[in-house]
Amino acid sequence: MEIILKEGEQNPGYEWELVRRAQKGDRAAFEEIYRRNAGRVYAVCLRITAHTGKAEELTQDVFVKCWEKLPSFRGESAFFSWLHRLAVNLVLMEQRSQKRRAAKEITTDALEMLEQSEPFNSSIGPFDLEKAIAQLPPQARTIFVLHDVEGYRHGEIAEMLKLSLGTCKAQLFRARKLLKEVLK
Amino acid sequence: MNCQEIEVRLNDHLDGILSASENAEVERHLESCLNCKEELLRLRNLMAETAALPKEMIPARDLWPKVAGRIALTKQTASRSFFGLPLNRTVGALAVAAVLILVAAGIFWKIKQSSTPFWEVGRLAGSPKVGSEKLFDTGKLRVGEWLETDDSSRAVISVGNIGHVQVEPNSRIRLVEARLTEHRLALQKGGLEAQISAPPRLFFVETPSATAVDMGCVYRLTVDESGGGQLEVTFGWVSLVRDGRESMVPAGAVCLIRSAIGPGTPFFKNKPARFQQALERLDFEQGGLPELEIILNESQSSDAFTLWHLLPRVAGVERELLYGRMAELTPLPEGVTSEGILRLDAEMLLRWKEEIDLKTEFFSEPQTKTPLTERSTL
Repeated sequence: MEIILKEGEQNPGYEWELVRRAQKGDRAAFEEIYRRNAGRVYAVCLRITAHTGKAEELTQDVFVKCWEKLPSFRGESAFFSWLHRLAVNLVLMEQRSQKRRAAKEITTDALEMLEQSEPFNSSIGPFDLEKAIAQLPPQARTIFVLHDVEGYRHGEIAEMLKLSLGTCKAQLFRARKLLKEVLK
Repeated sequence: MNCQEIEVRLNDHLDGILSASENAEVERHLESCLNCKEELLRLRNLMAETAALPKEMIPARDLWPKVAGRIALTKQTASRSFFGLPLNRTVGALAVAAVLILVAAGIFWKIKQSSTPFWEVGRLAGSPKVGSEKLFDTGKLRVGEWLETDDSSRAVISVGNIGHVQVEPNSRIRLVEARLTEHRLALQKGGLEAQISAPPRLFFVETPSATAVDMGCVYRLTVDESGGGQLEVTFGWVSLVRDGRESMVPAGAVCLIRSAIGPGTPFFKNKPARFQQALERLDFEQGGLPELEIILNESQSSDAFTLWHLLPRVAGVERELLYGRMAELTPLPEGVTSEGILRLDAEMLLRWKEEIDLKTEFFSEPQTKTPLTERSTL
């Protein structure tokens, strides 16, 4: 996945310095890390969950997890790539447990039915891509966001979601098809 | 290639994952098809709009104060304090330990209460016999003694304070152990319905071909003339074991037992006859790929536990096919690999089973204990 650095982040030495200080427990350095990265972490959480409250909670969880795990970061990849992967994993984990909870709460014959989302609203008025993405069925939305917005490849997504490559591609096709209806 | 096929290919074309010849085929079609050209344009527009979406979004409120509050209570992973657990988990670990101590004390108390040198037995119908004596109302079943019912008699046995066993007509059953930590019967023939409320692995029923190990449950167990039989669970889980072969049977499921082989593969009792027959042939009659294909074709999410049991019971291509279907029904948890499952790595199999059990419990029949009918007052 290709990560584009923000302005002010072009100095990897400074970023590494912040990370190094935070690894030693420096909370001021960690706050700066948070301020620099919260927007992108929140964006991925919001686009996958399509829910502002959940996205806020997950963003907090990501940075708390980041704080816990920071000592294990060895700088083998760019810090943001590491953080981004942590965020995506946490969001996907939350989705899985949510699905499990939902499965226990409702009485239905097949878990697959959980994937059947409400009908796609193809007449949402003036074109608003964000709104249209939020209305996609959950799995199609997750794969669309990871592939087309965040730049992950099919192989990476299939591995993260424990899906076959074919399913992954089919869901992306489905998402794009639904979104194209809105673009018409 | 028609327009419908091209529509799928257009996505791969723009994603750059087609081969040169496939790309050329798409281009050739586009040259002569206006509709697909328009489709391509729409797709390009969508991808351009998507690429232009902002990479950052600002939450409506500042989340840092909450993050700061939480990390103030959170040690970084490098600092460990309680048996290697991070500090934030220490409180949880201590709480769990306290609960375990309380539970253990409760169990000990209950077991102590249930300690009896014999078990009481009551007549439900006809004239059951304990040893050579007819049972008129209630009596005692001592260790080593047999309880027998004919075709018109039934009885109920009180298993200390942990439950009851109703003995069906034409049954022969012996009390093997009545100790604090082991309540054990042997069912030689006939049937029984057990309702047990106790920690797992305190109540056992031996049959000529397998032993049923109670995990806190309600079930019906039958033994036929050949020594085989059937287990049907209505609440909780029961484990059927013989010579290292184990089948875990959840509520709503059935497991066949065959003499000389032991327990078969458990399955939900509402499965179609084709599925059940194929499973029986695979388990007991040297069935192979044709039977497995029927099972895989008929399997749904709820059958993942059935398929899990088959993994070590098939090999080679059959195991790979089985694994493929299982992975569709229940994705592998983190850290579990297809290679590990195919080589029957015990730890990975267990981790996958935990994931599957969650789903199985969801599909199990309603979790209510059915009281034994016509239970006598002992």
